[in-house]
Amino acid sequence: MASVEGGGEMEVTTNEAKRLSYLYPQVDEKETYLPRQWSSKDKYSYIGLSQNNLRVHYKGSGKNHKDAAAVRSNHPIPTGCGVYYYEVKVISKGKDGHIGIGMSASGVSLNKLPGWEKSSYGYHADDGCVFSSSGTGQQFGPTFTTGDVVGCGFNLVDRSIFFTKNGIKLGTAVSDVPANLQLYPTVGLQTPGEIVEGNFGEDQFAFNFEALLTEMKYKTRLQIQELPVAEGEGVWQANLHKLVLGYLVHHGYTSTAVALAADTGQQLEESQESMTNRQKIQSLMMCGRVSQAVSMVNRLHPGLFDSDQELLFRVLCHQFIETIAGYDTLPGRGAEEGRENGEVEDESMETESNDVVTPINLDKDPGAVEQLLLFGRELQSLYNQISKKSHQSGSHQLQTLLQDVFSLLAYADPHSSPVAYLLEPSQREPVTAALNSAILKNNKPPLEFALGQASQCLKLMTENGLGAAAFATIEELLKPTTPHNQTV
Amino acid sequence: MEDNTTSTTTVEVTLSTSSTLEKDEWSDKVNNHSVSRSDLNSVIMDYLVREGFKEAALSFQKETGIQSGLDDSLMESQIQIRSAIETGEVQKAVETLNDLDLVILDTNPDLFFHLQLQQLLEYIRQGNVDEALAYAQSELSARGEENSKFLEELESALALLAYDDPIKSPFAYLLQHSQRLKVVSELNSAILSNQGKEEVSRLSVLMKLVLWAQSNLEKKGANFPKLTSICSSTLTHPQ
Repeated sequence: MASVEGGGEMEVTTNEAKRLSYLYPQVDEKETYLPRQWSSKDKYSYIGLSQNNLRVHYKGSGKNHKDAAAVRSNHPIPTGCGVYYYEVKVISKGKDGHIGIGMSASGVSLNKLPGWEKSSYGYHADDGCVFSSSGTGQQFGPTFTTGDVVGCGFNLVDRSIFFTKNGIKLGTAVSDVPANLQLYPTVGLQTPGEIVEGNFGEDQFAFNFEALLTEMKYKTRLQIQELPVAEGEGVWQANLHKLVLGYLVHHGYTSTAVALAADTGQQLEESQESMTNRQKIQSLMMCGRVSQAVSMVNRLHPGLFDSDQELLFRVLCHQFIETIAGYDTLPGRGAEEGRENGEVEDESMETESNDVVTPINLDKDPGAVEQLLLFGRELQSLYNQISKKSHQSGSHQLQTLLQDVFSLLAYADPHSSPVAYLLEPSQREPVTAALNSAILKNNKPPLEFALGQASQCLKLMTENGLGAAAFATIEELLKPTTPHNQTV
Repeated sequence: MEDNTTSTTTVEVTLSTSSTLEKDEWSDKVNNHSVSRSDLNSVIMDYLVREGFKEAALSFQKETGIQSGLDDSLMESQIQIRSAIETGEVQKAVETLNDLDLVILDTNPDLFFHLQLQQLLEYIRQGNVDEALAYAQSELSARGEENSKFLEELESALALLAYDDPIKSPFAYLLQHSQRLKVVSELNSAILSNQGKEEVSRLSVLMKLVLWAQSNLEKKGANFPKLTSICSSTLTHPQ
């Protein structure tokens, strides 16, 4: 698209990026790039490129197969794709239409059509043969010529290669691509006048590639779902009960935990009272009433903050934030007074706090600003104490937090400032979880630990060339599946 | 926690500092992985509802504000069936099931067989040998002939009778509570699938994801800290 305005091209690029990240959501382009065009370096001298390096033409003498010339894409196919697919349109078959479309590894001779050399694979236009790392082809599909669109896909789950012609899948052509062999989309031309154009996913494909991806996801899910468990289904079910109960107890869903324990004949290891108290602390934190949560922790778990100053620091930073956001108030401004000794009762919690917390108004209340600054200085000195003790990189994180928190003061409207993210309610979750874990002296309920392990293992699978990880993501398995109409 | 597991976890003196670091790094990353609470809560709710834990599901709805979306009459039936199986009253479970859906057993031969097998096991548990044998002959032997997998399961169950104290036999697992839970879970899957719902809980799939990923990595020969017990968060580190 030749655009008159400068903005036009930008837009194309974003749409392109959107479509590619939609096709390959598991590929993080900060770490591994996707092929986007033909490489202007990794090509034989008889190859000419145009139109943003998408169009390829032959410029050699083209007397015989010794004049063949190929070009690879600018990047190899990342494992995280799961299945990778690209298409090539034959713009002109030129003199003889000796065109090869396929994949090859880096370093494979580019003075050959793809498929003839080891670690290269290609579907050839003139005879419809597939060449799989060999000078001899196997009859595979129809021939193709000017106007045809040929697609080539690499399945990184079973390491097979398939081809399509004009949107129709022709079947698997190669089923034994060696493990860990990294491939690049590759085209080869051999006679004058031959022109082809690549589509690396920026435009709609002729083939319904999305349907293939959906099918892969469905199959992978089924495979996981039906995985036999060594301990047997019965024990597995009992373990799931345990995991759910552990989760409920950890996060303080007391009445649910009590009901489930009764229903499944499990014992609760924590008293209901203690669970309920943790639940209260968490809900105070989650609605921004940090100071009340802090005084409750100090009363019920004296010494907790003394032994974990880093946690105290994070919690107090949060109080600072919530004060600016108008959900909490500073020490000595009412919220805590008269509460120090009193039990926090269920009912009183709601009403009381609504009365007590008056949103701070920095413009009209100079005293408030002063107090915030005072509180900020306390935070600073707490940070100094912590950083003196630890030489870990962790203190760097704390420093960043402190700076971000302080900079909230610099903006007239913090909600539209660069640090506005601090005011998002979702920011409450991690600090609340950390506080709860500290009270429990227990990092994570086993259920969440297992998900952390799954996430690490999936990453390692991708690093090890196992493409199936692309179709089994925690994010997707967490969501309810859309009902499908398939009946067995 | 690591000390009492197998020798593979022992950190030897020869271990280089770099791999110790890697080990800590892996654990840290596992610990720092976070999933949004509301997503997890919806997985938990899905589990409570589908497994028929009505009280728990209603409490959870109150405590989290997530709609349970539970079908009251269906859930009542699930509860009755669960408690019937868990107390060994297989016949009562079958009746409730038939009230719910007359054809469910006809369309699920595996489920039907497992219910019959459970009935047999309950006779054996009660020490009612005559009844057990009569039931096996009249109801189960024909079914064993139609399917070799059934026959194998039937033989394991009958083998319990060869021991004076079945609890000490190699087949004692058949008399454990987990065997009943297995039948309950199979029943719930069949009921939910009949109602056009997912057969397997999302929680089960998510936990199997760990096993699946680990087994893929092992087949590939990758070295990594393996979660050897999901329930106790035990990581076993490679040597």
